[in-house]
Amino acid sequence: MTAAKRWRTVLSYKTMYLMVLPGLVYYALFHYLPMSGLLIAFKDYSPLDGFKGIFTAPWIGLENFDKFFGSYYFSKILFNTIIISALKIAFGFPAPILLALLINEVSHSAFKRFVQTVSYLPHFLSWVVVAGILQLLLSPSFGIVNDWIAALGLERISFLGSNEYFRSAIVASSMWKEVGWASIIYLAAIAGINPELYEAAQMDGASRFRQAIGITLPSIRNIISVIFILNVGHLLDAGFEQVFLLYSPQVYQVADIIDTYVYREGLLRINYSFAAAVGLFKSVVAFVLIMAANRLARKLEAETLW
Amino acid sequence: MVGRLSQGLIYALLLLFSLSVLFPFAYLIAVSLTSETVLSHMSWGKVTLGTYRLIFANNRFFDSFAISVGRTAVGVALNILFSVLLAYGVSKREMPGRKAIMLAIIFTMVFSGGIIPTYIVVTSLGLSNQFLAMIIPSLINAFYVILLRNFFMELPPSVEESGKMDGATDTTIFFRIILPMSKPVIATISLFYAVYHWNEWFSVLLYIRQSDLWPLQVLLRNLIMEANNMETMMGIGAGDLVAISPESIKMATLIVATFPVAVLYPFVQKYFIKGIIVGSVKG
Repeated sequence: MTAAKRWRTVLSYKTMYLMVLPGLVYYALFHYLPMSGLLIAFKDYSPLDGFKGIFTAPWIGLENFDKFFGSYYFSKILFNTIIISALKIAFGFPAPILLALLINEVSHSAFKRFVQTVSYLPHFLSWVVVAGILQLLLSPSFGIVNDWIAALGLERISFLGSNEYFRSAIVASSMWKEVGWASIIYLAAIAGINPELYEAAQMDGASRFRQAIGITLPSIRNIISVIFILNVGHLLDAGFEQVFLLYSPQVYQVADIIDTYVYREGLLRINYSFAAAVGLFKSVVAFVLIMAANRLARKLEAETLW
Repeated sequence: MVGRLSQGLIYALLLLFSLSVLFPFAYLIAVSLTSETVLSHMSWGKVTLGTYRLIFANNRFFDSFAISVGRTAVGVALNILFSVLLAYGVSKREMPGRKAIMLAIIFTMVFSGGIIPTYIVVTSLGLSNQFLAMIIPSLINAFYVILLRNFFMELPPSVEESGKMDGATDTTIFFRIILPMSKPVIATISLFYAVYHWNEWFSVLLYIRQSDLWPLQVLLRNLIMEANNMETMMGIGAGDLVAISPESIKMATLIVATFPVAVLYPFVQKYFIKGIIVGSVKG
């Protein structure tokens, strides 16, 4: 294309560019400009300097990172984060798939709709509400779960206050909240499977169970792969809102994840440089993880993110 | 026979699951309506609306409710405005620079500056302690932009072409033709944003200092924490507070915070489902 022709094409889209402008300004200001703020991870930044401080603060190199990796808590926090995420993936990833398979087997349409509608409900509640409910149910003094346990003659358990049970409570409540909503995508994918495949299998004498394993699962492997990649990319997140609302100093040992540690040490103590350094660490690792998971999916010839 | 058994098993499992979702709410409602501190025997104490009266008498409750409603209304309006304009713009396949713009948007989904740098930018822009601080930093959700863009791309080009042949400008086409056709998807995305605004509370923790800007979720959280402290100092307070236990207050507050969502939800959920399905299967 000649330069003139190219320019004319650009001009012909001027309304579109105008439409796109507000959104791009937003992204520039609130997503890309903050990336420059990552510089403070390598500096000794004071919030009193405001935005300029990002560039005027003195360099301290990798000191913040040393502080983080060398801190007494680092390995504990990293371990907690990874273990909680891993547990959530191990249990929480297959659960919606299983739910979708079960719901798919239901022929009674009213019951099907009932189960689906009910299962999505917790997703729409905030963690403030769900954590509040959980605290009430699990309370050692008046929670109904402990009342049942006491009725069985066993000792009452402080679930959210004990190192043994806290993580299980986190994983279980997270699953309770999201399994229904997550199953929607799988149900939609299952609905797209060619029914002839099932008819053929049925004629070959395959049971419904065999059909589920042999037809349904392989047919949705692409969507499973995409969602898995997204989950792995968020490995270091481990659910800040949930943990923050449910944890307490008694269980820091098992509950403290990277984000909660950064919130206390970085934000509350105004160690902004430190918090930014850890945030940068997280972002970089997440990025690498997503890339790696994507590459793995490509090797296994499953659907990739791009 | 084997088929019948496993069918029954599946139904039973799903029923059990559904009940496990509904049970906590039933329990909350039951306890919030009684003056019994502990509903351990599942017995009915005096049914009373005392806890609800206490909550509604609290001025802060209505203020927070109004803040939440206001935030959701203004937030969704701005979200949709920015998202739809952006999405429509990048839905034009032949637009030069489109790929770069899409890349810039999608990149923000995998990498970001983090909480602190964003906080610095937001406060430097004078948004600290402002109502808009709850709305502007999260103005556009890249995923929803992609959903909207895909929708616009699926529209038959003939619609626009006939508009152009009639001499309409791009703007007229957008407002008179495209928008009316997009009502369902815009409604769905609006609902997604609305749920986000109604539930979100962390940005308040970060940016808001004054309690009269608290949305409902933040008030709720503070009430729960206050009530937690109350029970470690049981007995302090007015005489009738003893009859209405901190737990009941908590539960009633939870019910009231959940109530709008729970009531609207059955009517609205089919939009969510359609939106997710259309968006992800295509995207």
